Amino acid sequence: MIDSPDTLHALIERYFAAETTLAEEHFLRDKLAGLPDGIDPVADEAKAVLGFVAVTSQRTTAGRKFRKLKRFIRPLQAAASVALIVGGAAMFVKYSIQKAEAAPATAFVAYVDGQPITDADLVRRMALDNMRLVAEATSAFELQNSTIINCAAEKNQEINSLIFPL
Amino acid sequence: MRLRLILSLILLVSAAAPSLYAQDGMKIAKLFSPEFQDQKGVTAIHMEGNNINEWGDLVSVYRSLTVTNPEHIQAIQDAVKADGRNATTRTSSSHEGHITYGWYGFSNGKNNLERYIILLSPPGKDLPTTLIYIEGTINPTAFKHYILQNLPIQ
Repeated sequence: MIDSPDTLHALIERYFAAETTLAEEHFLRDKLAGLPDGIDPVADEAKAVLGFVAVTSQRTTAGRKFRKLKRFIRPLQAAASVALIVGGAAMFVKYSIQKAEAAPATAFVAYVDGQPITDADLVRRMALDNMRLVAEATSAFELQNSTIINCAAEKNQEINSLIFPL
Repeated sequence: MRLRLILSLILLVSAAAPSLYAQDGMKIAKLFSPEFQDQKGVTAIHMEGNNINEWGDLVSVYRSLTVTNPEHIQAIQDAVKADGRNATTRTSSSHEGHITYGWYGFSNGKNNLERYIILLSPPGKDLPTTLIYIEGTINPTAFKHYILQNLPIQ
């Protein structure tokens, strides 16, 4: 069918002018595939274009397939992300609760003139000393209040006895 | 959309986390800051957790400050006076505008959380002033009873 370069070039020209049939395009592709590179520049150019078209076509098909697949993958990705975040948050909360239950204390420190004391027994003794002071002051305060109340009651009795002598 | 979801979850987890400074919202909170408690002449104690030995789980936070510097004493007096106005229970005595003894309770009906401020501030020169902040689920009557009987709280 094509037995000279001119005939091949004419077919290539018709291909570039979009005048070829599908059968002629297939024929041209097969023909060009059988030709070695670097002999006929026109054929090389056509091979490059036809090769690009073929590769693009394959890529486009693969892309379409991938996009179709992506439609299914995307919700799965979102669901996995949500599951990961919710799971992570649940584990964090559970861990925090367990840690809070297990930990003997989250803070046990004293500072004297800015110098830290981390000996737990010493810190506890210092706190208990303060609470003893509170106990003494509270007792004294309540005693003082009751004394004032008693004095007021005695005074009231005195006044009553003066106003209403027996 | 996904970012919004992540942000919502972060907010949810943050809300569930316990607050870092329980005395927040009170004027005395600033006194328990490192800027104040690291100063010379200040003794600060901080015990916090679910099991502070003798204090058991009824008291979860104990903080105290003992100071002798008149400026520090005044700062404590001012903060306690301001917080004392919001107290739900109050017992105090004062001398010439200076609180010598103060016991203030702050109840929170929502979660049974009780907060207490106790101030011991004798009026004499160079006498130490002690401010105590206590937080827990112990009610005011039981707390005072334990203190007066000098019993370990359990």
